[in-house]
Amino acid sequence: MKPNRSIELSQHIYRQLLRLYPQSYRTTYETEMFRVFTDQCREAYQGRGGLGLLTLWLRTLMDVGKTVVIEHISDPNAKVGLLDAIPNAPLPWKGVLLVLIPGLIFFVSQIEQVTSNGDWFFFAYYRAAYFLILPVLLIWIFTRRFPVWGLIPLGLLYGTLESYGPGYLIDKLTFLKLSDTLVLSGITFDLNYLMPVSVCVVLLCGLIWYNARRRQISRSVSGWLALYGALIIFQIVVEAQRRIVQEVAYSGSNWQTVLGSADMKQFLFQMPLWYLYTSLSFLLLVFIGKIFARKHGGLSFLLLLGYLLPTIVFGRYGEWTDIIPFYWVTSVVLIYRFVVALVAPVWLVREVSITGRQRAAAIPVAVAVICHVTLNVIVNIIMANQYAYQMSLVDLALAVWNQVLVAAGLGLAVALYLPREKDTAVVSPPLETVTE
Amino acid sequence: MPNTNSAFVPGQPLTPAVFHILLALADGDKHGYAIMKDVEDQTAGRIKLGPGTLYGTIKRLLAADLIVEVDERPDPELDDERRRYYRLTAQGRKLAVEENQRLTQAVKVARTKRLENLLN
Repeated sequence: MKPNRSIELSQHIYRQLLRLYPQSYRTTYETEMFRVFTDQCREAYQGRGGLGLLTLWLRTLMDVGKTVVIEHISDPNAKVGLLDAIPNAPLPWKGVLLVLIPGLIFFVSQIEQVTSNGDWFFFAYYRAAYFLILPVLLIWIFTRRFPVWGLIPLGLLYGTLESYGPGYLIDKLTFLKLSDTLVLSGITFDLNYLMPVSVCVVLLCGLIWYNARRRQISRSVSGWLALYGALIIFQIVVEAQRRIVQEVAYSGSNWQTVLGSADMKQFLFQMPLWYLYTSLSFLLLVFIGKIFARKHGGLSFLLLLGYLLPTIVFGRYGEWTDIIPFYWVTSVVLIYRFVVALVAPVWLVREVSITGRQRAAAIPVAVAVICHVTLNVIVNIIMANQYAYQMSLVDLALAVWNQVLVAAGLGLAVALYLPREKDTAVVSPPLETVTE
Repeated sequence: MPNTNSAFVPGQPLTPAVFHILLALADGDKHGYAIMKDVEDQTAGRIKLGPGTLYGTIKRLLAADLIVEVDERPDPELDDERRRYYRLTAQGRKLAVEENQRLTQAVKVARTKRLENLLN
């Protein structure tokens, strides 16, 4: 039979469609399926010409669509791509794709935010975390294993809930609703902050103690932890000092009088809770990531990437959108998110050596932090010029302090999840502990 | 010994694709395309298996030891040695017979209830 162009084209398309089936299935049946399809094409064309081929294609597309899904679900190797990434092995595309879904949703919502005045960005922003965690939980329940790609949605959920603020969360938990405030020695504490901060402190102490007992707190981990603590203290002290100086200037009283006032006392006890809430909850997430690092190693970093993902630098709704070019700022944010949310996970999965993974974790983080810090500094300088306010270095430092804290936390995570070879020699648990 | 991992549970109805593939192999070894044509003939064109459904089902039938792949060729004249041939096992034959009995029983019940008269 002489070659027919329609049949050849059909064969070519079908051969491409066969690539959708799992590798193990294709190895065994690809040739046979292709041969059967070729026979079907010839028969259909001989019988009814082009119309016969068209009818065959309609049936074939339905057949491929249905059976590709069935074969992927029933393929024993499918679980490898969904649950674990194996260095040296081909990229687990199914898992990576699922890792990328949260990132893609945010990119689409960001682009929507730029290109229209629609509000659905906020819906996607706040609701995505709740929906994206559902498949992760289902996989966890059914397989009793937490999938590596589930770390990003988990981090995303953590970040979203944190951004609501503790008051919102406590309001939802009616059984926790005792009172809004607690009065101790004449100082009124906001329970909406005191309770979560206390919970964070207790959990952090427990996790640090647990890791120390397993000899997982290396020198570099201790160093990053000390730096993180120092940065928190510095932030609180500088904020307190700023407020006192402002009050002294405003009231004309001396600083002893200002310090003795009930309002200032109230502020000095309450303000640290606001800062501690954000910084300690992020530190807690870093240590939660260490729990996953036992199984997934450096890929636990995905948890923190998920947390970083929903960070809004600013957008159409910020008051500064009239002051600085909105489009180039959004472009910068999109590029940095592309690096952090899309490139970093794939890069981490591909790297085999610890040094390579440290690099894959550190470079996207550096990009993220540099973008955040630069944009915050630019915004603050422009706004200060707008209102003719002379900015001090302390003002600038405080403007970017949360990003500096995040950077220190991420440095801690790299040291904690990806210990260097020389650290490994020091911190490795005894063999019995590893094998138990 | 029965395959404990089998997707086919004795006594449970078989899917039409599975039953007709077993029937197609009941009268001799066949390759994939011949099975497909046989199923089409058996059902007067009502069931047209696509390559995905055909080989997905064959994969599961092989895993359940209901069919096996054979090296022998039924008719050397018609043989295409590049093709794979499949043969029904004793277990597969037994399952086909059981399904046949189940369907016969169902038809018998339907006849006693004179279902065909309900349409008139």
